[in-house]
Amino acid sequence: MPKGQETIGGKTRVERALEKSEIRFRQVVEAAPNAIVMIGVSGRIEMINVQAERVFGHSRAEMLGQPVEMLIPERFRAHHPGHRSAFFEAPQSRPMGVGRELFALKKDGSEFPVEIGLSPIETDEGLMVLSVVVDITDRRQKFVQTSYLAAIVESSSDAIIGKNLDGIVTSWNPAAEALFGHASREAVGRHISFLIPPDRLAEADMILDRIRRGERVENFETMRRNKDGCEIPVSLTVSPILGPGGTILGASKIARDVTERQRAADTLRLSEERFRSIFGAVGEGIFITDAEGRFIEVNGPGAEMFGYSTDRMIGLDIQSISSGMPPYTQAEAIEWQRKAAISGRPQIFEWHCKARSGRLFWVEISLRQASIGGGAVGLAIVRDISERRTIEAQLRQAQKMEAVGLLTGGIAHDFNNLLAIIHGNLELIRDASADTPEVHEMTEDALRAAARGASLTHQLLAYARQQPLAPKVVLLEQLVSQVAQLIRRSLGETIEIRTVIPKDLWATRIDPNQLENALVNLAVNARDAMPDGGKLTIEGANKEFDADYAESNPGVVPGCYVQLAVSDSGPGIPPEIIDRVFEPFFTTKPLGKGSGLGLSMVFGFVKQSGGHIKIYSEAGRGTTFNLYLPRASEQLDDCVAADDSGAVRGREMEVILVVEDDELVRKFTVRVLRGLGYRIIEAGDGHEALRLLNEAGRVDLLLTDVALPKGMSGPAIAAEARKRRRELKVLYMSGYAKDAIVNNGVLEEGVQLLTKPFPKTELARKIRDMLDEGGAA
Amino acid sequence: MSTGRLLIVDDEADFGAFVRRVAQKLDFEVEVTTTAAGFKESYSRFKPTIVVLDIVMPDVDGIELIRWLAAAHCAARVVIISGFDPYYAMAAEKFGDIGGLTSIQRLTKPVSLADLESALTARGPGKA
Repeated sequence: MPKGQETIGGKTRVERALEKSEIRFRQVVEAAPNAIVMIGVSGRIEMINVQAERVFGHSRAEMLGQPVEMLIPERFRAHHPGHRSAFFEAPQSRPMGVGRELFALKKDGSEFPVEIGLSPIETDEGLMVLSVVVDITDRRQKFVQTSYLAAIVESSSDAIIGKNLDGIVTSWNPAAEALFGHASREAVGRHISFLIPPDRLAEADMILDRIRRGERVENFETMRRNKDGCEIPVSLTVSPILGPGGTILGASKIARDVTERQRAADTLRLSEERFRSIFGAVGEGIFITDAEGRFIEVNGPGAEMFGYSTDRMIGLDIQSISSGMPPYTQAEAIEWQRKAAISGRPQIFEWHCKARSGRLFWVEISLRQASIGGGAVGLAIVRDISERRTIEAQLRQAQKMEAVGLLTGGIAHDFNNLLAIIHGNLELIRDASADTPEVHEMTEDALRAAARGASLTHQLLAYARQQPLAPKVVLLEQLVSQVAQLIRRSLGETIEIRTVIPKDLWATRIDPNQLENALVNLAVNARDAMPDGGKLTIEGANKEFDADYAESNPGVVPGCYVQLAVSDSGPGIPPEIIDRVFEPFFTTKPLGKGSGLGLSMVFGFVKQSGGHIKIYSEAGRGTTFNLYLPRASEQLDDCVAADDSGAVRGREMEVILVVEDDELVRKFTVRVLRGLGYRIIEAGDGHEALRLLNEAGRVDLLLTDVALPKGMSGPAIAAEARKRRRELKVLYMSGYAKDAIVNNGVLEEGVQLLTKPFPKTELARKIRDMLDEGGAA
Repeated sequence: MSTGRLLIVDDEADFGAFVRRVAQKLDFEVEVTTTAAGFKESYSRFKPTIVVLDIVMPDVDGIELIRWLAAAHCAARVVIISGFDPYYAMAAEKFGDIGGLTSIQRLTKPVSLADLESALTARGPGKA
């Protein structure tokens, strides 16, 4: 013990101080948060702390005095003594294994990454090295994680921007550079508002407010500005960045460029709009059907054609709009759809349809297979061809009459030549047989038969429009009254005959003898239709037919005509034969009762004279034959359709309810009235008319057919309508001449009536006159 | 001496024969032909005082014959017999008038014996 050293309890002060220092050192080592292992020059473990026991899993006893290599994984052990020697040669505090990753070995054989700090310590047992071992497993994991995140942020195609709660940009990834054009160094440190268009600046505060409240802003679609000042549509997602303890440090903002998406959406919307507007604007009906023939899409005109709204039409199938008469069935429709699919070409066919109201009509369908969203659908373009078919049928009938006429004419000529020979020679025989009464008598019989044959050929030639005519300018008043006298005598008491010829009736150019013949023929026909008596009316009127009318009535030439209407009150002609009554040899009379040529002659005569003829007939209401004879050209100067269309046009808001079951007439009428500027409501029967009348706001005039289906006549509609609207004006239309219909008690005296067919000008003027009169007509 | 010389053209030979019978009873010299060529040949040789022709024949245009007669300054009376088609007959009549044929009469088939007889024997500018 050195001199002068105080001892306390057998120890010097120095000794005690050393001891104290030793204890404090040990205490420090033990309390250190890291594992500490002290190794001597020999490489044996001289001292460890509690943390070392915990980290390596060995107990103190297991480690003390053992070579330190026990704590080093096998693969590093060989190099270790060399490193250790190097340290002891130049002992100084430094981290171990700079630039290398260090691993330590636990008792259980597992390795863990470590950082080791080395410090030389001079002890009484010589130089030792104090190793402070830090388990960096967690830190390494966090590092890897952070590196991943950083890489993700760097490589993201979305702009990712960090900002603090003041809105200052703290980070800026390459995608942000690409999107906004600002480099990271330009952006970081600036307030986020440099990206925001001036009119949207408030958004910045709004977003930051929400972030401060810990809320997330998701897929917020807005506009941002790039370095060039251009605005870019973006979708923003902004999330708060939480610090330790949940404090909000700032926000991470992901900005996605939605230019492409928006462009695609715009294109889609435009394309959809374009499709919708074309779909709706096409005049034809367009139907898209699924494989079972159900409608999955229909345009307005298509639905209207069948009397449905487009909504109600969708989901219906072909069956529900077909007449159902074979072959117009669902199965057949599917078959067409199949053909369209197989051939790849449009299939065009006619179809018999049923509207919602039960009305049957014809359409032409062009059906092809199309693909929508990868699925096969039927695409049908549907056109209402009722009008066309009716006109075609009329044209066919006219052509047939023409052809039969030519044929008849040819045959009649041949017969006539033969009859000339027969008749002439019979006369010679008759003269030569004066001495032989028997031969004489037989010859007389044969001559009578030949005369009848000649009369028949005459009728045939009349029908074939090849009879000799001697047309003259004729005033009908006198002619008709003469004929009336004649037929009064021959038709008998049971038939009441009435003639109405207006004073201002135009003169006609016609063969008067043949006209008399024609009237007698019609009268005989009327008598046969009324075996128990009835009324026969002959009525004259001036008529003018325009090009519109001629277009829908094949064979009619526009111009001025004198109408002679011959009406009976018989049972009427059934619709199925009405077109055929003018055909030669067509007769409904018992065999031998009529030649079947009477009406044919009338037809041929009127045609040959440059006129035309129309029949109107309805069951139970009799028949009217309308003869239109050409107005005598000698006075044609007066017959110029005055162009007073301005004066007869409809005024704004004037509404007319048109009730007519004949579709052709209704369409014509509605087209004319719309053309004149009226607003039109149309109905096919009385019930529909009254329903529409209830729904309608304003109705100024009811234009109705007299005879209508479903048990409700024009006058019945008018009576019912007047109960609801006392001021409503009523104009009747009828195929019958006015007097005939008033005579038959269908209409009251004094009503307003248009006789069908009527030209545009007459309709326009009549309606204007009625609307301009005060009070109910 | 005969009443006159009658030339008949009609594609119906039997009708021609009928007219011949009637005319012969009235003491006409008669020739009948069914063709245009025969008619022209006969006309030049036979020099008829009266011509009866059918205006509607399948292979001969009666109107052509009328014009031919007019061009030949035919002095014979002409009787046109036609079927019911009046326009041909009327047109033929017109052509005849314009061409200077002075006497044209029109008959319609079937012709009554009385009408035919009176047409054949009618007095006219043609040489009897």
